[in-house]
Amino acid sequence: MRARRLAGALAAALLAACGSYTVPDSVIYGQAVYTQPAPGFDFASRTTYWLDPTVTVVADDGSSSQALLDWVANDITTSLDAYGWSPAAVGSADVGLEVMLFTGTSGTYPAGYWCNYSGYTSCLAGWSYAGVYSQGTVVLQMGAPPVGGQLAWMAALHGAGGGGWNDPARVSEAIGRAFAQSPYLAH
Amino acid sequence: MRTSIARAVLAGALLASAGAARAQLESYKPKETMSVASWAVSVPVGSFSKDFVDRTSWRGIGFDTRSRMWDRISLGVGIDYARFEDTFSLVSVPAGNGGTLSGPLYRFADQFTLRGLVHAYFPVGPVVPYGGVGIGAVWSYGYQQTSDYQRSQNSMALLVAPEAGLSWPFAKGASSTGLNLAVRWNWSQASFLTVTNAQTVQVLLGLFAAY
Repeated sequence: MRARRLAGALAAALLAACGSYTVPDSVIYGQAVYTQPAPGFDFASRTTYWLDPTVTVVADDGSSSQALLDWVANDITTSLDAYGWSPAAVGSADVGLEVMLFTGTSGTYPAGYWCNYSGYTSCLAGWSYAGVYSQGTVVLQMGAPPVGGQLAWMAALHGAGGGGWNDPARVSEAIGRAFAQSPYLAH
Repeated sequence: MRTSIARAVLAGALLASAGAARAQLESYKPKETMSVASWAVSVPVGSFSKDFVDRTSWRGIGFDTRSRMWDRISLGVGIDYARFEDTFSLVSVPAGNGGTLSGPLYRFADQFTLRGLVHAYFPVGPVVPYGGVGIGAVWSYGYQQTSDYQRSQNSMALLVAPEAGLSWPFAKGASSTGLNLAVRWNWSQASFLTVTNAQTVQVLLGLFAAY
């Protein structure tokens, strides 16, 4: 009897070993942040910045301009101030920061694990796998001098299932992370 | 005439070799054939653990079939599968020229192995300790995702898998069945994504049937 129970438990464990995978929501709806300084750029000698109050928005149906939201401006200036930078007028600042938003819709149609590997183009996924989602990338650019200058630093904050400004907590965390992973900006 | 003789000699040689092969097949009577189905718990080691996932895999399965050709030696084949996965709340990696990429990350890896097996058995009372080695191939598939960015890669590599185990028959007659416990080291140079050698240590708990 004990042996049968043991065999049953083992069979259940064997069945449980087979299954698909699920990407956690915390990853799908998390922010990927990429930062890149211009190689050799001298950040140490620049201490003042001007933040462009206008945001360029590039969407599926064209581009437009909008005012920089207060909370986004606040997140950026807080991080820069913490690194020892000071705000200045556009004509006298050492560097300028511009914010851009790229937003749009993307389609997802993963053919599935086996289909991908076998290369069958006719191997259809279940309807539950296909869909359309919105995504957005906020780009911060630092240039010197502030207008028409050389690109000194950039950050791309990418999010799916919304992106853009519709989730302030996500974007704020990503802005903070972009500066945190760019310690060369600190004075 | 010479051609006819040559043909006759060739036909005779072929018939003779076929007869020898048939005799060999007829004499193939293993002392015992044993099949084992196992639940495999796998621990990634080396670069697999350091550079990809370090969580133990509880999702694995394996099958072995062995024929005892001599009293204490068996030959056989085995296959197994294991799924490794892990989620990282935040991973930060260098992206070249001072660049940095960070984000929450999900990773999984699948490994399928196919092994030729040789085992030696050392019966002690009701249990049968054994040791052996499997040599074959491992197919690995690695996948990682942050936000809606995905990347995957697969590889095929040589596999050498020494193992030690214990069989405990709990029902014995003309055939027998019982429990099997084994520990195996899967050595390979399988490389994919950030992994340079995907090696694992496995604990296998299984049921066997032998006749």
